[in-house]
Amino acid sequence: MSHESEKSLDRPAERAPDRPLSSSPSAMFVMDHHRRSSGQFSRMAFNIYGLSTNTSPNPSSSSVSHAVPASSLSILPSSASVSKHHAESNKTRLHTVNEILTCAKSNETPNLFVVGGPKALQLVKVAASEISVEYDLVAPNAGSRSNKYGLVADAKFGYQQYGRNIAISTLSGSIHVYNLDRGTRVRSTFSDHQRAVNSIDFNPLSPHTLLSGSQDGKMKIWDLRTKNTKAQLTIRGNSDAVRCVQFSPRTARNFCSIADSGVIQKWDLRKPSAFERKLNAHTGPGLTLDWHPELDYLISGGRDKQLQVWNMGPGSDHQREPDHVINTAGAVSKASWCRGRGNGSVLTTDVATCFLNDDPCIQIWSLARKHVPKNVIELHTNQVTGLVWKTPRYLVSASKDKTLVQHDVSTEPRLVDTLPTMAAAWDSQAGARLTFVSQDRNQFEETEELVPSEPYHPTSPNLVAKARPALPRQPSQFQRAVRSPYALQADIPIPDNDTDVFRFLSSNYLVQVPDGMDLLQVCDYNASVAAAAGRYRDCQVWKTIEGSILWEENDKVVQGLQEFHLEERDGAVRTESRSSLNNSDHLSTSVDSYDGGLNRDGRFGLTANANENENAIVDDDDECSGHATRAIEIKRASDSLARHTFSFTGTSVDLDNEKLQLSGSPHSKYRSKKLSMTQMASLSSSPAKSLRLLPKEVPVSKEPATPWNPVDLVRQAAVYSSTQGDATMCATLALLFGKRYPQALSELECQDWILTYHDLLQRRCLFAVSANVLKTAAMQYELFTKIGQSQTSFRLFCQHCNTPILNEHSKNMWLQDPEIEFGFWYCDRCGKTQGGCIYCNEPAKGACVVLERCGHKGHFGCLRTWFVDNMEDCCPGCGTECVR
Amino acid sequence: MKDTVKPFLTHHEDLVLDVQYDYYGRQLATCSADQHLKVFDLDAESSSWILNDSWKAHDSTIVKVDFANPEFGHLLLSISYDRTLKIWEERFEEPAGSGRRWRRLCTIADSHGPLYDACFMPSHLGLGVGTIGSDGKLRIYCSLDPANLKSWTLVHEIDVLNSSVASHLQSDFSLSWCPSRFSGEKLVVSALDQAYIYYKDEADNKFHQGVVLPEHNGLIRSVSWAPSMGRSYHLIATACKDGFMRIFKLVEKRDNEFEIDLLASFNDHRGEVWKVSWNLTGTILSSCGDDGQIRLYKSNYANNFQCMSVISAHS
Repeated sequence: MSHESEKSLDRPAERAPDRPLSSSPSAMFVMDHHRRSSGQFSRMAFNIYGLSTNTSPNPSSSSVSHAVPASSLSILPSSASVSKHHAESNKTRLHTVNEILTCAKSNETPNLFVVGGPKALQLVKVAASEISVEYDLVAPNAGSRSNKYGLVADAKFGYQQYGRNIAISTLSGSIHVYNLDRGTRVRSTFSDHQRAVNSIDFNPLSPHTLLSGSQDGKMKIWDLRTKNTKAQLTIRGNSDAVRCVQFSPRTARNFCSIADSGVIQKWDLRKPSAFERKLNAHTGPGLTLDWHPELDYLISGGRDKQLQVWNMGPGSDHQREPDHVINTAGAVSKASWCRGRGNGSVLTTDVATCFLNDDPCIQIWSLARKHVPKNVIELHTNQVTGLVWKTPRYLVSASKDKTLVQHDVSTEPRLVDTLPTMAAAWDSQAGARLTFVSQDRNQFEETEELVPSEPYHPTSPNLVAKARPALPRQPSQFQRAVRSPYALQADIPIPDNDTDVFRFLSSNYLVQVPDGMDLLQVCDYNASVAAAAGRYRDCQVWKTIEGSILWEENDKVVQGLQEFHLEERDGAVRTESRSSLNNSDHLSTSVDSYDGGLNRDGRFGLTANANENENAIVDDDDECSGHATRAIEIKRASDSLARHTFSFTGTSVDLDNEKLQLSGSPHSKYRSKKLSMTQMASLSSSPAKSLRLLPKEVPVSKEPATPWNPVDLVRQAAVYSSTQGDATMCATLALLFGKRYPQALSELECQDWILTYHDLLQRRCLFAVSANVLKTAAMQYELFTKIGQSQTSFRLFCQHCNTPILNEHSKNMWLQDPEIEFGFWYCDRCGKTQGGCIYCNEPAKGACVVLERCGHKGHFGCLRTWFVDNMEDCCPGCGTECVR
Repeated sequence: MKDTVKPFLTHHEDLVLDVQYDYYGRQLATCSADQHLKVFDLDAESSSWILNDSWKAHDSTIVKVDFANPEFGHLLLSISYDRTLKIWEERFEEPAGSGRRWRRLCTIADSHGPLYDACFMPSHLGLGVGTIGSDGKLRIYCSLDPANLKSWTLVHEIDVLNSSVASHLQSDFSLSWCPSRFSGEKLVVSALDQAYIYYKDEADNKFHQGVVLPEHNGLIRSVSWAPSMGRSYHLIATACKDGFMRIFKLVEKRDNEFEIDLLASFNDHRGEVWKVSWNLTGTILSSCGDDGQIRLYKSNYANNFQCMSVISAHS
């Protein structure tokens, strides 16, 4: 709606302070004249603070009111004593003495509202910036005279010439009509109803007609023109209590009612004996209904937490389904179309709702979006009982928390804007796969464009249609074009992301040293596995570690030779510190001795230059048939010092984040040993950092650490892999070296890596591998023994009664008397024994072997006889091929 | 598994607010503002997601789903603005797509306001759920009897906020458990623009508030505690309405003392950041922003986080 029209709608509100009851100043005058000695009419314009001074101890109120002679206004014992304004920018609030049970807007006088509570009825002026009590029709604290009403159920203003009439209905079954022009006296009382009158309504087109709907199941028409207090017409819907009645705003003779059975009935006053149309709307009590102010639509709300919008126009009589259904969070106690906007479409007309549950919020819905309310407004602390649109911008709500609030709805944030438009989740199985949903906030708004309904598949096209019968829908109904969000999957192109590689590596890596192999062979074997998987870096890491272990072992042999070699250094390295000399020497000597001959200039290195990786691996593949000791290529590098590249430092540069460029080219870094040593220090900064953060410092070995000693290498390799998220490498290293080099890998790290790895294996259903990892880890760490014992479980199902074999009963007996046989080869429940050994047919008690393919089980000895001794390759019971 | 799954229509009728994989990556659950939960099964042969079931699970926007570790059964939780937490169990005897395949085990409606986040505990702590709603209370429920998953006991109720949120203000809450087995029971909880570490003191078996994650200048939309992967410290990421994604380093000192450092903060999304989550090994962090992009961050060996890629959807 345009700003212009909004303003014009608000204008009466701005004018209001001058003439509070602008439509009938004379009425006020009459009242003044009768009741009030001072008779100063203009004083009625005073705000509520003046009225409040008499009773309110509130200092802020009295400070405002000092200008007003309070006595001049105390014509009526006003209940407005606690009326108070809040400085909230977009809302105005009135506090009353009593709970408010209903509120209604005057149809003819702008800003005039009536507020009804237990034993109280007040006229309230709701201006743009403040709400004030005009006067009390029934004062809340006025003696017994007013108590006759009991609780107010509903209140309505009349239309046109009856615009100054207010009708209220009560829970005691009576209807009272007030004429504001005649002060607080009741104009007429109708008490034909036997039980509570839940709802009343004036006819907007035939203003003397009043309609009431009662708990006794009857609806009555009253004519205000006659003095007769009998109903003009009594309509019996069915025996259900009528919850809400309302005249059609377009035809004087039609009205609708909603009853406890959830049925909406449309009536024609000319044919009161039978309903014109019946809508089986709600499952459970219907609580409220409201005609659209301009269009032939009806909205209803019920205990079934639904809002339903019905087409009431001509030609819709056959329709049995609502046009729109909104599922809300609570029983809908009031629903109210936004009035005065006039833009001619149900989809764009807002509906304000409040609920019967303990959530005192007001929700504003737009039919264009059926799942997310446009606004959720929290104004009250107790149940909301009245909901009236003053203008399309201002909503007035009344509540049992004793407040009446006018709220500027236009300032409310849209709820959709507080919801994220993206959802994403990492695949719990693959290393780096992400599924995400990206959507536009507004893509779900329905537009006026309707597409003819397809055969209705409420779910996915993947579902075969026959799996779920298409819901029968009226041909007149349309399926709205709403774009459903797509879920997309992104695979992050990083090496860890390959499931096949993971499977290959995890299934083939050796995590312990098997019989007949030593650690070096295991390293070599793992290197060849990595190479086969295309993981050349990992391959190189394994080889390097192998080489360093080799050096470590040989080191002891050649210790005595060190000093001698130091003397023989050439000039280029004389400036180095002793330790670094030592370091380089260690390598050369070890390599030398390994090669069998002592080389004088000691220029041997492990060539692990990344560029040469491929060649090295190709070589390895040729000779990788198990004998590990020769696997590391030792190349002679006597020509230049630059050949002295140490793979671990090299790898940490090379392997690390490709984006990270260390200053200078690697080549220059490695030009001399000295540089390489400083490089080493700088490169190790990251592991060093993490080392520093360890609760327990990794103990530094007493010997001067050489860069290629296995402790450092293993540590670097593991730490690097962990930053890359390569749990396979981490855990394999931890399992192989955790106990061997406790100073390299702390127990905590090892356990964490192994656990992560174990978890990953489980997620990928590599149970055999994970069991193997668990078994190996259990030998080293107590924790895994526990996990292995407590988290591995088998459930056997009884083959006769198909329930899990628990045998709790006989277990208890066995616990008391160990003589009793106990096991899981029988079922307590049905008392039958399970199938015996597939070979000998004796009960398979205790440990037995189960054939993976067919599930048959047998004694270990029996099956060994069958498969090993008899060389059979199929199950003895069913012939399934088990051995290939 | 090499071929990637093609984009598929979720057939939700409103915003999808959360997606979760099950433990084995074979099921995908989505929840939406349209009050429906959907579960999809991965068909390995065609590598496509096939609807397992779709059902109306709540009376209001469903904001979060989570699968439990399979050692406790085939359980799914969902929370909604309708203030309830529901726990569902898959019934394999019901046909797919029947709307009955997931049976509701229980409904917990303790919250006095909409629920904003819920997570199953890490499995080594047992079967339990932490929830937080707009009443500012962190509630932790446990299923104490594995044979009866219908009964959940409110074990802890902690006031994260001293009073309920002012109703007219936007709010957001989030929580994330510390996944490490080698560290005590603890979690990070965000309430409005504050995030706290809560740890369980073994001495009195109660949760206490630890350090505050500093520097947030707006509602915190999401918190995520990284899997430890052998680190001696913890990484926690937060997504904030102020446009920044932050990564914190939490070091545990002795006796439940913590030291928290801001490692990195990024405002690459140039707008609100909605969600952060770590991958399984805690090495890659994803953040979703209002710009419709997902950014992935990874630390290089010097512990500097860098954006490694940007993902966005083009229709």
